[in-house]
Amino acid sequence: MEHLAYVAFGIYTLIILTGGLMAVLCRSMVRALVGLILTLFGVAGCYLLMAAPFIALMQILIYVGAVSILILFAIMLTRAPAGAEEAPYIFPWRSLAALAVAFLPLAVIGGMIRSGQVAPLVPPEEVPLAELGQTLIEPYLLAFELISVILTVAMAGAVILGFERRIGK
Amino acid sequence: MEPITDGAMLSPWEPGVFSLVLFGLLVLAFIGFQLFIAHWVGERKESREKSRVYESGVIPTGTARLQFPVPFYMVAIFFLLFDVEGVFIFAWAVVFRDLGWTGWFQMVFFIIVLLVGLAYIWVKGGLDWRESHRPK
Repeated sequence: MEHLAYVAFGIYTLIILTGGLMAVLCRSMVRALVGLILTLFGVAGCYLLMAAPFIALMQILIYVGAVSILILFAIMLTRAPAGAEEAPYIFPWRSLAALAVAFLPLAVIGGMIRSGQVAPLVPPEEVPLAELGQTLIEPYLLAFELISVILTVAMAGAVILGFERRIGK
Repeated sequence: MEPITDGAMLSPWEPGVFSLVLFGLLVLAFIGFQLFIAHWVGERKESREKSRVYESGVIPTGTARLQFPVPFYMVAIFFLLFDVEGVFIFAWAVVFRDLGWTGWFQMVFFIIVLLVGLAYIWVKGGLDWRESHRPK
């Protein structure tokens, strides 16, 4: 059945790359966002492949469900005024720079693979969700409680930023 | 209700995924078949009314490229934050019987801190939609 995992990996990689290209190449912001969402779905698939279904589902719930909506609202908030056109497609320099940046991680990872030992592919073992919850509550209690503090601070920050904008108007 | 303990259900390393792939293919084939039949058999008549954005709905006026008000964004941020909170509560809820009262109190503290944040945005008017209720 391992072949199926390879097929799945290929499909997920294709989804990620297609979405990424869409996000970079589309001139319409909303279409680029759709590409980003596609990429996030592909990443969720990769989590599934790494035997982390909980993380995969949370990826869909949080990134696909909430973060992308947040970005969509950001686009709609800052939308160019009616009649304005999107920036024209500029080929030469920006595309080259983008390509260079895209190949940088490839070079780093390739160098690491060439120089170091690569771990053999073994079917990953799934950590049960119950174990995850127990680990969060027992050994990592302080970090866990700090998460709630971070979320509270984020809420307060959103309120302050949102209101400052309105007062300044 | 018993929690699902068979972790292989969603794993592509196990044969269980075959039925999922088959199911997905069948769904895609079914949708394609429906669309094809509708396209092939169906009669197409163009009319002004049909080409409206909302057929038989509210007649749109002006451009759709308007700026949305900030409260939409605020609601989206709060939704995101409580979404993340829900994830952690979910991880705790799976084992809350094993963790006992200690785990319960720890989670209560977690939620109380977040309730403080909720109270803050409530008092500050982050949940109000109308401009008149905004703080000065």
